[in-house]
Amino acid sequence: MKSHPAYDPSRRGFLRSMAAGSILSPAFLQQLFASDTPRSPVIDPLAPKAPHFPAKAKRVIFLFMSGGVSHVDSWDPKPKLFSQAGKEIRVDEYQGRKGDFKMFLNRPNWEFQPHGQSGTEVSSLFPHMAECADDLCVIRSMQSNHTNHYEATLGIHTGSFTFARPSIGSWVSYGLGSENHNLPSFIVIAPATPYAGNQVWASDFLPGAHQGTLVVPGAEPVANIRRRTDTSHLQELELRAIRKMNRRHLANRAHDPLLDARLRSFETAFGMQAEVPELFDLSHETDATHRLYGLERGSTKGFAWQCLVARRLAERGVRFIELIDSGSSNNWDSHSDMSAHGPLARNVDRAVSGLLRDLKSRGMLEDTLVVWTTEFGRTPFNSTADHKGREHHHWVFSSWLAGAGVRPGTVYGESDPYGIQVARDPVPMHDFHATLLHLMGMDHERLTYHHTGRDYRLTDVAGNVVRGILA
Amino acid sequence: MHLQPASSDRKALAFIRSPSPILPGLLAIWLFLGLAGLGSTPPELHWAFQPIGNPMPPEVRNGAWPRTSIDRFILARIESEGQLPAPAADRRALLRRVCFDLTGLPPTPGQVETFLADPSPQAFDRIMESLLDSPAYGERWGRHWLDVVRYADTAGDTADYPIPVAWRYRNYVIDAFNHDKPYDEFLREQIAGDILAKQGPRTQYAERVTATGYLAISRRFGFDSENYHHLTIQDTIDTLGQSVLGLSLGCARCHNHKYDPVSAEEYYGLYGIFASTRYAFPGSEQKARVRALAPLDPNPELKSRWTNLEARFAALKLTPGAVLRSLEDLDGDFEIQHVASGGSNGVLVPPWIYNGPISVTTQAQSPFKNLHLFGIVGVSVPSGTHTYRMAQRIAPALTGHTTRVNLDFRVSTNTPSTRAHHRFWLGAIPESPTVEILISSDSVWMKSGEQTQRIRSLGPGLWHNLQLTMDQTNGTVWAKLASADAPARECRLSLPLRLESPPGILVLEGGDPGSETLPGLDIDNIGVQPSPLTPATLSAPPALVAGMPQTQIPELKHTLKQLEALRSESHAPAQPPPDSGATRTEAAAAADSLESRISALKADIERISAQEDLLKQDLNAQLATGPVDLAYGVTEGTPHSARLQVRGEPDNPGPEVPRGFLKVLGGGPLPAGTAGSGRLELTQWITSPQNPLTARVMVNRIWQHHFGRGLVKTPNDFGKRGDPPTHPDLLDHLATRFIQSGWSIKSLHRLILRSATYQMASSGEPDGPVRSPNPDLYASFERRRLTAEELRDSILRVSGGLDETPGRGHPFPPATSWSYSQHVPFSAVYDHSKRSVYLMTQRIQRHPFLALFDGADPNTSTPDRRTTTVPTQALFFLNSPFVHAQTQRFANRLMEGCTTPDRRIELAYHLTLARPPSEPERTEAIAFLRAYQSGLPRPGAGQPEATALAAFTRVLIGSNEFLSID
Repeated sequence: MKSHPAYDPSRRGFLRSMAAGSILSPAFLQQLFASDTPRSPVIDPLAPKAPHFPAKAKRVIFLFMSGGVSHVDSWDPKPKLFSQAGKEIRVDEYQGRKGDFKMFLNRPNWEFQPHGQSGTEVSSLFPHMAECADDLCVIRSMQSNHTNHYEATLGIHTGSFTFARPSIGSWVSYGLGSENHNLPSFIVIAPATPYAGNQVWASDFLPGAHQGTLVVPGAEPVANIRRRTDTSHLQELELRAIRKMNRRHLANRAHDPLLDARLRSFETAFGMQAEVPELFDLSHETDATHRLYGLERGSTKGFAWQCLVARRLAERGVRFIELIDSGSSNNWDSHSDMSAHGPLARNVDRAVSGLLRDLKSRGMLEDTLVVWTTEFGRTPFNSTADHKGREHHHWVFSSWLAGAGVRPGTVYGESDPYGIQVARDPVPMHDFHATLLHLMGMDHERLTYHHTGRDYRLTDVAGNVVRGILA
Repeated sequence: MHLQPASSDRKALAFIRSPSPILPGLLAIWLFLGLAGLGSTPPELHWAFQPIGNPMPPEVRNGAWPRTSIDRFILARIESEGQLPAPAADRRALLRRVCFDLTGLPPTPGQVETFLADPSPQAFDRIMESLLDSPAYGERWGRHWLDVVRYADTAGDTADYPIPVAWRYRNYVIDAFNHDKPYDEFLREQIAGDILAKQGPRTQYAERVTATGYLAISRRFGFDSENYHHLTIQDTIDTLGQSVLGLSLGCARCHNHKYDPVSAEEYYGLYGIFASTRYAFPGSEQKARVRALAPLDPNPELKSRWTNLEARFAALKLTPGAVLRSLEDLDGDFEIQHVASGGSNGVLVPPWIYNGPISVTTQAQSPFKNLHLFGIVGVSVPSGTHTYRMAQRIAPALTGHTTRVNLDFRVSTNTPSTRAHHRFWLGAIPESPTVEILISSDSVWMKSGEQTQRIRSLGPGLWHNLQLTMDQTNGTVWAKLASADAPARECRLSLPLRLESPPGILVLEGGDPGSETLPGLDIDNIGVQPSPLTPATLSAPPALVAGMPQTQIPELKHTLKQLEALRSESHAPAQPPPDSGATRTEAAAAADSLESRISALKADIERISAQEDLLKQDLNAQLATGPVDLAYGVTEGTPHSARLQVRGEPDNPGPEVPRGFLKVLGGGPLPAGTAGSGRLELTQWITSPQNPLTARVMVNRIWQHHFGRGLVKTPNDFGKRGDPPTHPDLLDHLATRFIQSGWSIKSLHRLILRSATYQMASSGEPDGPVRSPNPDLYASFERRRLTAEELRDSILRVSGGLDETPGRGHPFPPATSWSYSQHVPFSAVYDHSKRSVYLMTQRIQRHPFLALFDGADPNTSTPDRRTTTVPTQALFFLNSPFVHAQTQRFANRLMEGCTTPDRRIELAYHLTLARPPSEPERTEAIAFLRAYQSGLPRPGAGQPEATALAAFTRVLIGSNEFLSID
């Protein structure tokens, strides 16, 4: 198999047009289709669809930090937490329980500095991302509805905090289809299972084609992708024989779009076998690129590998790419000691900044929306004045957006002086989702799917596009 | 015991709070719809709510075509649109269709041969009856029901706890289909089987209790699922509505249903029925242990087995980490509150509710053994406490006229004299004590009605055992009090008792605002039961411990040590007098005897240790399953009406709503004086032949699974938002026949399968007339793809790898090792070669194979399977280890069964496609095998023939012909 040509922006139009077939092994495919008659129209759930209105963003790279990143240690500077550390305060809810709780403000572990021309303050937890401050729109007024990981993780992915619903990636795939039929439209790269498991990328009631395909870094990143026959030639023999049987079967049964679709799915699968391993083959990436992401050559470990693969997926027209940095354990859930944030930050910081710079230098930040988020923040206070950890905090937390359609170098929303509540411009989950869909050219109220007697939306019956985030 | 914040005792138990509603979005939409729906006029009666008619089959022009009554309804419609029905299917296609349809498996070559060789008109009936009689029938049709009731082997809470005994319900469903259990009985058992079981006969007890798994498998939520029990009840009602009634009742949770005549009052009328029901508890992150499973034998038969199990633990001095409790499930000994059992010290978990500074400690373990032989913890209320309260509803509800109560307690030694007292009381309703026990720092009193009398004074620091007998018939309550220093000496007291119904609530509390602080109190072993109590004792009854292997190992080891010491001493002066031959012999003999004693002792120790290991294994197994077989079912709780939850928010209670069933379906409030939860009455409403939905919904499902689409194309929604039936008269005809046949599902199969409609050819002969593209006409049979289960089972069948014995439980890790959490949830895939219906199905992690091929969603009722076609499915056929292993097996089977390539090809075609290969296919197959063999990297090495044959069978299995049914 010839390897995939290096990225060339002008090729993307071509990639888009190859939806009906594969550009791989043309000779083989010609052979397959030698006696092909014009095909009947096939219901293709992944056919590219026009957005509701023109939009810059053609794809999403969704970076999810699992466990709850502390906002007051990263993107939300709170000088009073430094100057009034140890001060006693009262809160009426703590770890999901209502009541009157005596709490103490805890000093952040990382200092804040203004960065770039925008002067956005970012802490020393993320020194590399901080350098990209002029490309980011930091949201300091995110709100979640639940204090548990499971529900909050489900909520930020599906808009629903209890019941499984389609993932935002599935909604985007459903709304816009795929630009590359050799690859799934929604790909998730995760080294471990997150909270709420595969419900996080499930299509739920949306057609199965929109389900996220899980890529686990390692030998077989996609299930059944490795050819098991001794040679490619042998597999071609098999495929040719299947094709012959299926064509004969179809010929006796007039037009049946499902039979036809299945016939084509083998061809796509064959293409995927070549394209997917090539996708994960980073040997042609330059040393400079490796350095940019902080990736050791040959390594498939860490967020750097995930980010570089994400760029390659973006190049190949995958619609929604989600990277999860960790799983449901060994993550940002630093209850006992905030210093645990340090190594987790080092895993993602340089990689994410490398991704942003790489996308920018290739002109891809123009039409790629990059989202960085977590399920909730962490309490600016704790039960003792010298407590080293922080608990779950869903009343306010921070995320950022960058790229296509996003107002760069800005900060949206504000928390109160201690980072406990939203002070200005709250961004509840449905608003966040409505805005992401808007950036993709979709009206969240029109992106619906009829199921069990009603039209479902990602944003349920709520959601307002946050205009202040838009460029 | 289920905590219902919106229930009648809300005021009394105001500290039981469910967390704030967690679905604001969903609530909002319902609220919105509710407001939008206000003021809309009552709709005229929707078709589905009208009585089921018995329409005559219509006249048709082509009178020769119809074979059963069904055909006239179908043909009349086809003719009215100027169309023709397709010709009859060819016999091979028909056989393959009916085999998959009834059993989910391809026909065997033998079945094909028999059927084709039998030209008689009864040939089809014969094969149909043999398929209906085969166990594979229930495995296929049971699966359809399991789809609708969203069956799973795990609970669905954030840690997705396994339910090791859920499989019993799964097998109950399969068996019910195999035995053609009348559908009305099937429903009655699933909704009220525990109540029916008690009515006899004894032989059906286990089966009926198991059937209530239908309710128990309702989804659990959150990391402490008992806090979200209102969502579980909501899930029960949603699924009941969708599966049985074809209605989405969920909308009425927050407001009167906008489209269908279901009011919020009626929703909470149903809600009350399930709130009065006690669901088995699967364990959760917060409370790791399983509780309240339903025993498959009646309680009176079990008591001794439970007591014996406890005795064995006590005798072995083992610490049971997870003793299952199913008998008198009060948790009156607080053992599941112990940290080692998943409890959280200082926080009482359900069934208890509490507030105030109490703790679960080993210090509060009572020495009395008359109620519970085994235990390590009790509950302590520290001295100086102002107020506290712990309480629970008594469930299952007591019946009978005598109630016995046990309480062990002691007042702390260092308690200053105080007039404040603890109150232990029972009553039928909250805040209304019938009998009170008052415990002060130095005395204990009993109060009944207006009378209060001192029972006796208390020794500080001394444990006491209190036993009450509340005799409703004689209107008397007796108290017996014994102390640990003289357990046989009892103080007795009796008072008049006024009690109309058995106590429903049990409370221990103390203090009034402003009063003095309380004396310290330890309590343990609370029991409430109808059967008599054993008198106070500090030792386990000898009869129970007898026959138990006592732990002799320490003594034996001690003896061994002594003997070994003796031996080393006798060796030390190892120089016997040189001239004393006799002594030497004696010494040698003594040494020999010592040696043999040592080795005998070692053998004993080994043997007894092995016995103990076996015993421990056995006990560990019993920890997981109990000393009796248990089912994941429901039992009766405390009957009460629920309060309406305004906008569906449990924290926003409205008026109390009497329990009952939907008026539009012939229901109403429960009759006055209904004793139980109301589930039994509910089944009567649901299975009444006058209920317009129950029969219609089920016949539609059966039609749907035969034809790929329902007459109502929204099988879970017969309401206004659903599709109207394409053939309303036929639907009513089928429903009427169904009820007339005694709700026999197999009779309905026969009616349908014998029809010309079912036996038509599938659409699209290449050169045939162009037929109406409207599949609703049933002018031809609709081709369908194999379901995920059929696909896997068929591959296993043709390869010879299918294990056709029924599945039972799954190899879950032992319950004692469970500590699943949202951080490390339960997650497993257990493979086997049994039919796919027996695969372990997790609720929140989909099975990878079933998910790939559009299996049921175990999270929610799946009325019909989708058919998606994605390249990852093709990759499964090309590269999956499963397909490669099975085709290798298939190849070996062909090699063993036939000697020539020609015969092997022929057999492979027969097995997979139920037909011989055509001549061109045969030639191509030979050519394929040759090309493949020569293409192998090292021809001659390994088994090139088998390898090529395996590839050939992959081609057959990958073909559309194998995957679809004409």
